[in-house]
Amino acid sequence: MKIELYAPAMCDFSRVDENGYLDIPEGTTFGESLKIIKLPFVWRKIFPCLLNYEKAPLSTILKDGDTISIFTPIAGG
Amino acid sequence: MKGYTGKILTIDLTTGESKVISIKDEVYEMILSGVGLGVWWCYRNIPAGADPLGPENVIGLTSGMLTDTGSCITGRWVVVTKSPSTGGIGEANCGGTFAPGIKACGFDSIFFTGKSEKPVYVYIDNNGPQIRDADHIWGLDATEAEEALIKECWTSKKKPVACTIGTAGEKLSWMAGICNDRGRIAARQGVGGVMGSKNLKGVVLAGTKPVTCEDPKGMKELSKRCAKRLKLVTLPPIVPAGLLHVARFLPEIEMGVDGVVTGVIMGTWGTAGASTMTAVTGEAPIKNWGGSTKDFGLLKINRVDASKLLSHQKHRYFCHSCVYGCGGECDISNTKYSKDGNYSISHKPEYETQWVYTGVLCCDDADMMLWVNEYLNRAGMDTISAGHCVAMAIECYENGLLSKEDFGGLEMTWGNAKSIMEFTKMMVERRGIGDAFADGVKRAAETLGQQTSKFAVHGGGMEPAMHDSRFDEHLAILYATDPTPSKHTTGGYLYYGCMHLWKKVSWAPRQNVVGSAKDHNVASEKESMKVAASAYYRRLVDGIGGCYFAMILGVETYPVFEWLNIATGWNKTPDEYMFIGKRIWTMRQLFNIKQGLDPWYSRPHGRMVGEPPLKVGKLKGKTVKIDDMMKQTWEVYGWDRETGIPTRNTVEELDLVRLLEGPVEQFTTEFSTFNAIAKI
Repeated sequence: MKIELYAPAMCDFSRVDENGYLDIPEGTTFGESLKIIKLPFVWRKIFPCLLNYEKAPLSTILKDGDTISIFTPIAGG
Repeated sequence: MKGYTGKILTIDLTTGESKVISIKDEVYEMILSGVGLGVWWCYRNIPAGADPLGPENVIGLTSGMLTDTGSCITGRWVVVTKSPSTGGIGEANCGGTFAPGIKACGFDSIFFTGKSEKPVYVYIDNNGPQIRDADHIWGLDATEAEEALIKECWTSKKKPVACTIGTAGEKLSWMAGICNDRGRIAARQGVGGVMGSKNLKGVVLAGTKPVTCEDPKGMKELSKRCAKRLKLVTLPPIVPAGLLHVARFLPEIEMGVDGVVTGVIMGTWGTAGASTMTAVTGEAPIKNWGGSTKDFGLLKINRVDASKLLSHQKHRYFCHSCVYGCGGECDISNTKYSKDGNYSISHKPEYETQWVYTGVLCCDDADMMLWVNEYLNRAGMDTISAGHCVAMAIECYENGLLSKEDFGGLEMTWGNAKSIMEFTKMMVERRGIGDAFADGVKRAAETLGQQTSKFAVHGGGMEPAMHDSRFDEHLAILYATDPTPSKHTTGGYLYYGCMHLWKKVSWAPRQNVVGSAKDHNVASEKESMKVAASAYYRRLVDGIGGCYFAMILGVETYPVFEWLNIATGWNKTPDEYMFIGKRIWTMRQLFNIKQGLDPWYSRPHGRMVGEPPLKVGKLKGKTVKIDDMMKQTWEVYGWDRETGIPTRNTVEELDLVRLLEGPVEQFTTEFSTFNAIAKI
């Protein structure tokens, strides 16, 4: 199934297609998906990681079309 | 009511005549309110070749289409006029509480023309405007004048709001802005100088008229969703801004970004949170765009970063209808220079101010930057432009073009805090050689001789923001092709990745997520389409009174298109709204053409595009092919590829001949005319 992913550049994007969708098996949890993309543990502990624009337990089973958003540092001002 | 009032107020400061004019719905459907309405009125009423500081110029204070309708983060006001610094369309926008005040008086915009014989301020309430004597506040700084006016005019339950100019505006500086809320400033393009040229010290708004929209309940529901998403995202209070140095280690890849989670930076540190990232990635220009972190390294950056500023912060504050809260009030009474001016409370410096008065001047004295921030907010002068002038002065000094005597005994060297402060005062007061720099770097170079122009970093007369166009080529194109040149709040490569326009707009290209950022060809049609999409969308956001930082939350979270339909009942598609954005964008260019500007005038200074390239640092060897990119992007806008003039087809497609040149009676009705000179 396909999950829309917004993640920082140090993650592993090898399973992400050019439209930004992460390809993962049915039944994958939120927490497992973060491991699949190799998001550093510290990053997850400090910065916001949202599922469908809300905080969610890592045990949440993902559904096709869900959106995962992880803090990415960009500047403005 | 469709979110707008359908009326504007015009005041001729020469004669005192004031008119309330009804604007037909068709105009709002074509160009919205806010900046669109402002540019339209200025186009029609400022004669070709008008002196920006002469009585013929018009200056408009505009509110947003969605301001005070129940939408969130739509409380910004935009000043529109002919700019003295560029000679073209001038725009400057600002947050705070002034925008809803315009609508509460029953108007979408207020336009001033003419010139008063003596200093005046204009008071407006539900009964209309009064032109009042301002002799007693002329000479006060912008904050003092605002406080005096509010005290003088606060006669009912509701506290009035006011905007004022400071010394810079009174002295007709091309770098002067207009302030509200104790030093928040619509800073760019010399709009404060235009206000000063009319002898208009301030405008006080004390109206109490309600604003409604077509579907208030629907508006509330949608706004709640936006606010809820933003409030979810927080950081632990102990996280230092220095942690953002991690940005330097991230690989450069193309990707989309969710601006909701990124927005945590704004809420935690304010815009100054950017400095640690921009400095180490190469996005922040250093040493007047000629240096790198070799000149201003990590230790120095840490001395002036957002954590340093937060140590002074008393509390955060929010603009009208904002849920972001990037602003903050700082106690600077214990800083080194606070006695000079007796400053105690100050706004937390924005990133632009923070960086131009530190990295660009290679000065790691945070106390100096805090002092300058308050001083220039009160003087009503644009910190971006002023900082560039200081940098140019230093380079002129170091290269022997100007001497210590020229600077009245100042040692104008990099990082010299005391000289930087004194020279800044000289510019505001137009004292000594400060007078030559008080109108920006382009004018300074014209006055001091062409040898100095190599240190005058600008595009079309505007000093650029603290985002390096060699780092982000989308930004380079926008600096070069925006009819208000060198403006940094229209878009950029990373920002486009945050907007997610491709989810709503059929022709907006998707930001790819994989591959190296270095691989994309910026002079391609696809990339120009992204730039165009940012440009048109930004005009919509300005039209609603929206904020740049909300714009990068993405269209799923900051629902501009849906809000507009709910407010107006129009039921237009996102593509139709983007067409409106294109119309406003093109109308601004036509304003410049009418005023005689050659669109190539805004080609950026060589340093901004790597001519010659830097020899060290993150941007080493980088040159932007700006001419090819300008041509490509003009073509995508529907402007002539070689000249930058909108083509006949484009102008006709956008129905701009009728809108700009057709009989005014097609679009307006005069509601009432009266003399506004106060009889008190």
